[in-house]
Amino acid sequence: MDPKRRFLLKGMLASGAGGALLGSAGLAQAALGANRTGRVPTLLLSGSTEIENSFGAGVRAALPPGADFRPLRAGHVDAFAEACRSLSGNRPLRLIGMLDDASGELLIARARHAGARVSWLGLHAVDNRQTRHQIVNAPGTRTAVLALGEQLGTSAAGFALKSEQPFSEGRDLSLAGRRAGATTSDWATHLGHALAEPGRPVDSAALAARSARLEGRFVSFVIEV
Amino acid sequence: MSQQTNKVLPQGVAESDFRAALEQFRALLGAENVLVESEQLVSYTKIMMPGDVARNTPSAAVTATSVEQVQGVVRICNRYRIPVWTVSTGNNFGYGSAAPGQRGQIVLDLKKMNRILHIDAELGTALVEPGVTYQQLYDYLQEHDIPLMLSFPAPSAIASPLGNTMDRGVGYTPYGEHFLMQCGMELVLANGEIYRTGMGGVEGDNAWQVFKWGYGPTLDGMFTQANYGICTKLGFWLMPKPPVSMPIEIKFEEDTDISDIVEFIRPLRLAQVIPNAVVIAGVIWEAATCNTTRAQYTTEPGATPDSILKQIQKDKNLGAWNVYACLYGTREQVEVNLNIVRGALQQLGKGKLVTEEEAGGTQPFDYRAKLMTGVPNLQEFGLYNWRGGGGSMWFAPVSQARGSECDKQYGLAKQILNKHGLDYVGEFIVGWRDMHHVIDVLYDRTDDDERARAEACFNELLDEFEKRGYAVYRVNTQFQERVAQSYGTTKRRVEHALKRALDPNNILAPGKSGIDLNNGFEL
Repeated sequence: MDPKRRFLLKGMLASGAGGALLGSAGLAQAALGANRTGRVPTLLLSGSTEIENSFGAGVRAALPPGADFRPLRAGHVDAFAEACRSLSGNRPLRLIGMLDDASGELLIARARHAGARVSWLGLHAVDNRQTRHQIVNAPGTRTAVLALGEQLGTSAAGFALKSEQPFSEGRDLSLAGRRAGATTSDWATHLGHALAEPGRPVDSAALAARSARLEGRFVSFVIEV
Repeated sequence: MSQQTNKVLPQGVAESDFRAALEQFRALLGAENVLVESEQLVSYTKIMMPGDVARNTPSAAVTATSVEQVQGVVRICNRYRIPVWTVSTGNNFGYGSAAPGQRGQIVLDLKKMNRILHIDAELGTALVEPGVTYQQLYDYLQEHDIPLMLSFPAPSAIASPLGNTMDRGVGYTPYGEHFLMQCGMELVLANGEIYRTGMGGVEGDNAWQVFKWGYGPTLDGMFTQANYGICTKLGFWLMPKPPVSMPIEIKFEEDTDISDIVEFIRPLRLAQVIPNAVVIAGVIWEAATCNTTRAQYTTEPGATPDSILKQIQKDKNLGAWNVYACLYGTREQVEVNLNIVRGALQQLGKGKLVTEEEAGGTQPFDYRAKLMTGVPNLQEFGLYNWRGGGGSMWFAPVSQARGSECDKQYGLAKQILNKHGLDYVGEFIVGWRDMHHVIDVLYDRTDDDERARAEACFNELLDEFEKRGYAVYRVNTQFQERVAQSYGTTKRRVEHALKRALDPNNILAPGKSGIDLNNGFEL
């Protein structure tokens, strides 16, 4: 059996969510339905240069040539403020990003205050032993959860992925892997890619070449205005 | 028109009734103010408590822009028995944020009711709506060159004076006990009527914001941390800005110094030599707020060893305890009081006093100075990066302002936290005669094991403190029923009798502070 397929099936069994989960064969099809963003301009907010070089690289790789895309410079003192201002503006846009916990907490509060739509909210903890990911997401970004799970299953040394579905009747998704010896370096790049364009095929080799190692605690988000 | 795409319903409400209620909310508020799609509600589920997000997931959120709309919302909720959880700005981080206390409750978000209704520069009073933030108020005072000073909690810029006061929060200035400075509330009751406390019920009165008591029973306190009404206006007092404010820090080297520190501070505080709500902050608190993370020192799981804490203390030039106080008045007054403080410190024989000039604009002194002089900032959010992972619960027991009590509480809290693999991240805020001992139980929500340990730790903190006669003054929504038990059955029966009289359909924030007619308490 294909290792990816075996991994997903194991996850389905572990979570008890067999009926609710898609196999890898269904990913592309699901992605077509999930890519609702059309050509809304994308704003990328990275909390550090490391995030920009991993998560941000994935976002850049996913977007088609000519896409209306603007990165806010990592670490720039006004970047966070500009992102917050954009939430309250009249211009439709999609804010994708990854920040530290403190900034992430503030940004989500600002998004709520602005009445913005949050389709993805992730907590990530990564060290040299394992990666842990806890996601609250709207149904539209379920494909990205599966893409992250698939990537972790094939390349992460040890991981735990939990996706809470508080608004749906479907059960939460919980996946875990304990495989030793593999790299954890490109999870953020793949996640950036999956959140930016869920339907775009992943060129894993190209993404790996672009990615930088990212360790620590982070908050990821997709917010639409 | 957006349709409900989530599958959450208020408890005990049929889907058809909920749909009918949503239609009426739309007619009252406009469709754009009735949020029912998952994407619109995800931000209302951002919690820092250890329970699953599903426990605090709303079925909808509605935003009102006027008192009349709040009355209308309450009437619709009464009609369909829909429980409604109200937030002002919803930035009560670590206490529940903007998420409802129970799954399925709708959130009434008052962020759009954000008018500063009146500032009296001569009398030093304010009257505001729920959505006003401290930053907004600060900007208003600056723009209009009004020489008044604010008192606020640490997330000052985005927090609501009304929300913080109604939850009996504290600040760091002489006006730091915020409920003491409250003067006049307007509340929408569960039946839709408007009730004003104090002088507010008198036609044509202009003393609402200057005289608290009015006539007959004074009921303001019973509406705080409660669910008997929705506060739509709040009056409070502002401190005249003094000609001179002199923030100071006193660093103490050993964590065993806490008892001596409190004995040193109390007489100065009671005599108003130091008039503000003094803070005595532990080393991790101060390190985290100047951008230190645990991972910079260790990635080993569990409590951070004392040897590392000592290293951080040295590296960051911190005390094991860091006392922040501020002197206010004319230059002469401040000079006199500073000399008294120096004299007392000399008598104590330990502690190093640092002035603002000596601190040289460095953190954490700078943000502490701002908190004590009424300048909003968000520096304290650095706490969330200490361990990371999005978990935070405030454990906030009160005690007498005695060294022996604080020593006992500190030792007990640290021992329990460390046992569960967590750190003591705490500060004492010196009230008039009390101490608010505020501990941020920080943990990683992505780690199921750590989440479980944090929950067990919080329960043990509550249990062990209660055995010694201590209880918390405020708690997050996950533990509100448990904390209500600490205060005794008679209190609960009285509270439920009031609830039954004022809100017989149990629609206003059932569960708040453990008050919920489904609990079955009878007087």
